[in-house]
Parts: sequence; structure tokens; C-alpha cells
Amino acid sequence: MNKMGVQMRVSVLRMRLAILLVIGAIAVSTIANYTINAALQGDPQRDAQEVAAAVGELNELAGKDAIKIEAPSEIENINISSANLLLILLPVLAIILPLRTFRTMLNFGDSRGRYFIGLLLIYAAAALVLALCNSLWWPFEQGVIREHSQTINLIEVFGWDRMGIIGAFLYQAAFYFFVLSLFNLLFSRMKSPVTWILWAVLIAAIPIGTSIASLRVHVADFFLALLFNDSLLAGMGLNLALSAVFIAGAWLFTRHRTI
Amino acid sequence: MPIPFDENRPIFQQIADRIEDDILNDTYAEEDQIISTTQFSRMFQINPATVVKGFGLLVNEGIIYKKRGLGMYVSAGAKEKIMGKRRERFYSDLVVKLLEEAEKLGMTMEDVIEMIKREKRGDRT
Amino acid sequence: MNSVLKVNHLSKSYGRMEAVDSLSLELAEHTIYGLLGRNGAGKTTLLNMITGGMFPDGGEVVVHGRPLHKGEVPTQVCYIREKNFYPNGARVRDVLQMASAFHPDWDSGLASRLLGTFKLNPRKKMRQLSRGMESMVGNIIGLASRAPLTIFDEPVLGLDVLMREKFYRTLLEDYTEHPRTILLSTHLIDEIATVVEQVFIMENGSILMSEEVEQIRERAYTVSGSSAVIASFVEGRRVIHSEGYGQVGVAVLYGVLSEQERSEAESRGLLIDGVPLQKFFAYLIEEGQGNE
Repeated sequence: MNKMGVQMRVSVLRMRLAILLVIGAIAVSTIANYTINAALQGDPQRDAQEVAAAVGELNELAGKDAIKIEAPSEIENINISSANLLLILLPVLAIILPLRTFRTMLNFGDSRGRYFIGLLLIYAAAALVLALCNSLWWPFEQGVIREHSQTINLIEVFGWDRMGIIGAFLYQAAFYFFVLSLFNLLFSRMKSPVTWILWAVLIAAIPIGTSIASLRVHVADFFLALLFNDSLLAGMGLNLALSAVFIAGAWLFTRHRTI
Repeated sequence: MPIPFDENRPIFQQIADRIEDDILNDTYAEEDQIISTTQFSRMFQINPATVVKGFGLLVNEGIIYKKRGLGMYVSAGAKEKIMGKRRERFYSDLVVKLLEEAEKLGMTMEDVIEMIKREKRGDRT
Repeated sequence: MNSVLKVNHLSKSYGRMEAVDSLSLELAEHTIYGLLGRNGAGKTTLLNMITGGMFPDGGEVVVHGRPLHKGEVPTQVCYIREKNFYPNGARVRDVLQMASAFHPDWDSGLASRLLGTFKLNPRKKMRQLSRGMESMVGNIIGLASRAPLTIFDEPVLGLDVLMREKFYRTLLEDYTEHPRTILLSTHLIDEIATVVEQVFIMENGSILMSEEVEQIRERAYTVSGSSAVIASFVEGRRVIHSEGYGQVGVAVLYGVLSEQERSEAESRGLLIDGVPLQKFFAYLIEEGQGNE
């Protein structure tokens, strides 16, 4: 076993419980949904109206016809795609690994640099694997699952399906990596005041960004460019560029992190 | 193995004493190979450098010598040398102190000699 | 003498507390050292800085001739912490296997032999181990690493006397066959007194004394007798500790005492004797505090 192998092993050991919990939660929620679908007589038309209203509101917020969801005239109970539920693992992974594997690796005698590169490799692998899971699930979901129940998948929410299956896969991977590197930044050095400021800024940014009208347009534009980008290259580029910034920040934290 | 050494005195001196004792009581005859420093260190759980220092003391005094690549051997005449050394020590450590103590107790030299003779006869009363 | 580790005027404070205060020391190759001090003397902080886990406020650490920069971890060093961070869901044999990846001189044969010597079940998970067995896992890693500089922080914590002896014996045996520099940090001198060559005695972030154990045995002594005679005898000598009860008293001193001085003192009615090491260190530390 080499050092990277040790890091993988340690990461799995530290994540084992979280992975089991997430998978358990997905299983429970799927079963619960089936039970509810069977037990409740929903009102498909009212549900459909609500969705249409929500889409309208979102479009108003964004200022243009950005969201291209055709609200159907009637829907049954809509569930989030099981493959999307798995994405809960993204923040979980990027919180647990920096918090729980740094000391273990350094205690074994690892250097901060090698540890950090290993961490990035794990994140890259996780982003690719989760993107692959969802991309493979997507045709199955459309062809088989939707025969029985209504589901919703990120791929169509953000309109990535327009880029073909490969395009959707790449866009997802870039976005997932972005999420991982953001959370990783926030949990890379909890003992530093810089981290606390970062947290404060981020928490403050959400109400400020959405409540001030002039800012709101820019915030919406930013999310459109990040998530709903019509160009695969521009969308991936933006995600990866921001990831690079977060990674640089996380390295500054890790480089001088104490045990 | 517990440490059978007096912790108030330097261990290397006690190591040298111990080897000398083994030569005096004929555990080692002259020209015999003695225990190696490594074995000694292992047996008594003592830092090898300390053991080497103790053995070095004996090498310097010509009591043991090193055969290159083979180990440590008892020198010819080692026993005599040790006995001579110990006799001197017997005088300074025991005889002088004995007389000093006797003086404190108001005993004459004759009293002391008489006591020694009595002990030798096995007549304690 | 090849220097394996050199520490120059190292300092580290937590707020107003000086954990390590302008401390210097040097370790030569192929030597076993002891770092002695009470809990809270700053030993662990010092060791963490030496191994790159923490950063000094001032001073320098040079390992195998290379200055250690902030954020770097020295190579060819194995540091066994008192509080280890091995994943508690891992099995003992997995932890050993993982540790082997970080030590180029690792001897897996030795590691598995030691599992037997120390009666550790390799299939047990870390969380199932007692404190003593946990210490032993670290100790096996430290020994099997054969690192040119191996540091143990409180290696016998939670171990019974038999296992402690087994550990020190094994350490000496392996050291004899594969000489390297070993630093044993502990608050118990008696156990390491015959194992180490030299000790550093640490208190309040500084080294109070750095001496060969044999030298300390030679130079530390007590005198007891009449208080007046003791008072004149200790003049100009280093007194570590003294106490008196009216006419009689006792003093612990440190320094070279010639045969002549000894017999002179004895002829004046003083009784001269050795000092058990653990007692000597306790007095020394007390004295160190008094000087503040």
C-alpha cells in the first residue's frame, strides 16, 4: 500500500458511517414515497398549477425566461431522483475529510503537500463517480421509473440534457467538483479567524444578495452563468475556475494547519 | 529482568565490578571468553554504550582484552591484578572505616582484634 | 559526532503561557536519549514542533542537517504520539500496514514478531483496545519503522510493569542490531535510567539539565549530619535541595566530589550517600521553579 492508498483507506474508514447513513436515508425516503403515492389520492391538477406558478416566479426573479421547464397540465407527486439524493454525499465528503483525515495522515508521517494533492484526487474521483452515476441513471429514470412515478433530476432542472449525455456528464462533474472545493475550503482550518470571517461573509451574503433588488439581478445572473449556462465550455470553465480559487484558499489554510 | 544494580552508583562501574567478581570466583578462568557487551546489555536491559564503558574500564586496567572479531577474553594474571586492587580497596574502605568507628566507640585496637578473632572461631558470645 | 537533530532557541507560547522558552538541544546519531519532565512541562509541544505538527514562534529546528521550514514535515523521522490519531475503526494489522507506507526502512517481519511479543491480536479493531494496548500499537510502529530518528512520547502509558520491561528490552535489542537515534519522552525516570545514555530534564519550557545519566549518578549525592557542618560544607557547591530539623539537616548536592573531599567531609561527621534518580529530578525541578 502506498501513501495514496493509505489516504483512500483512511477516508473510507472515516466516511463509512456517513455513507451508510446517506444510503439508508435514500432507501427509507424511496420506500416512504412509494407508500405515500399508494396511500394518498393527490390532486394532480392543483399540483401542476403550483409548479407552474413556482416556475413563473423563478423566471420573474431572474428577469428573463431563463428556466425552460414546461409545467405539465397535471402532475402526480414529484420525487427527487434517487440518484440526485446521493449528492448529499458531496458536502458530507468535503466536511468530513478535511476535519477527520488531516491529523490521521500527518500522524502517520505524511506531508501537508502530499495529503492535499491526495485529497484533491479523492474529490475529483468523487465528482466523476457521482456524475457518472447520475448520467447512467438518467436514461433509466426516463425510460423505466417515469412509467410508474414522477421524478425530477438536476439534469433537466438545469437544462444539461440539451448538451447530450457526455455534455451533461461533464457539466455535472465540474459542478460537483465546485461544491466539493467550496465545502472543503470552509472546513480546512476551523481554528483560523480567516475561516470564521469567511463563514460570516457567506452567511451574510445570502439574505443581502436576495433582499436588495439591485444586487438580486447580479446574483441571479451569477447562478444562471454557473448552473444554467448555455455553453458547456463556459459553464464548466466557470465552475472549475471558482474551484481553483477555493482550492488555492484551502491550500493556504492547509499549508500552515497545525495538528 | 529487573535491574540488579544499585542506582546510586554509576552503572558502568558496577558492570566492571561484576565481571571482576566473576573472575575472582572462577566463573571465568584466564583466557576464557567472557559475555559479550551485546549479551550483557540484553540480559540486564542496559544501554550498550554504558556496557561498553564498563568493559572499557577493565580493558584499560589490563584485566580483559579484545580479540578482534571474536570478543572479549580474560587476560593472563587478571585474577592477581583484581586481588591486588581489591586489597587496596579493602584497606581504605573497610579497615580505615572500621578503626574510625572503633575510635568513636572508645574501643582500642586490641578490642577490635580480639573481636575479629572471636568471630573467626565462631564464638559470638 | 553527526547531528541528527538540532534545536536552536525554540520558543512557543499559548497566549501568555510560555510552553517552550528559547530551548536548545542537540541529538547525535546512534544514541538513546530521554526527555524528562512532568506533565505540562512542554515536552509534547516541543516534540510537535520538531516533527512539523506545530510551528514555533521563534527559533530553528534542523533535522538531519536540513532546517525545517514552516509547514514542512521532516523525513526519516518517526514520531509516536502519546495521543495517537489512528482510525479507531481500523484493525491493528491495517494500522501497521498503513504506517509502513511512510517509513522506507520498515521491517514487516519485526512488526509481526512484536505483535506476538506484546500479545496483540492483529484482528482487533483500534477502538477495542485498552489504553496500554493502544500504546503498544504505537510502540510497534516506532520500532518497526527503524527511522533514523524515532521519538516516543510517553510510550508506556497504560502498560503494566511486565509489558513496560518487555518494551524497553525489545527497544534495546533492536537498537543494538540497528543503531539509530531514539528519544524517549516520559515523566518516569526510573524505567529509562539504564536504557538511555543522556537525559534532558525539562521544566517550564526550558531544559534544566542535559547530562549523561551515568554522570548524574556520579555527581548527585546527599550529605547529612549536623546543620552547622553542612552549612560550611555546601559553601561554593551546587545545592539542589536542603532541609533541616534543628541541629541536623540534609542537603542534596550536584558536582564532582573528590576522594579527598569525601573523606574530609566524613571525618567531620557528615554522612555522604547517593540519591535515587527520581528523587534527584524531583528536587531539581523544585529548585528550577524556585529560581523563577
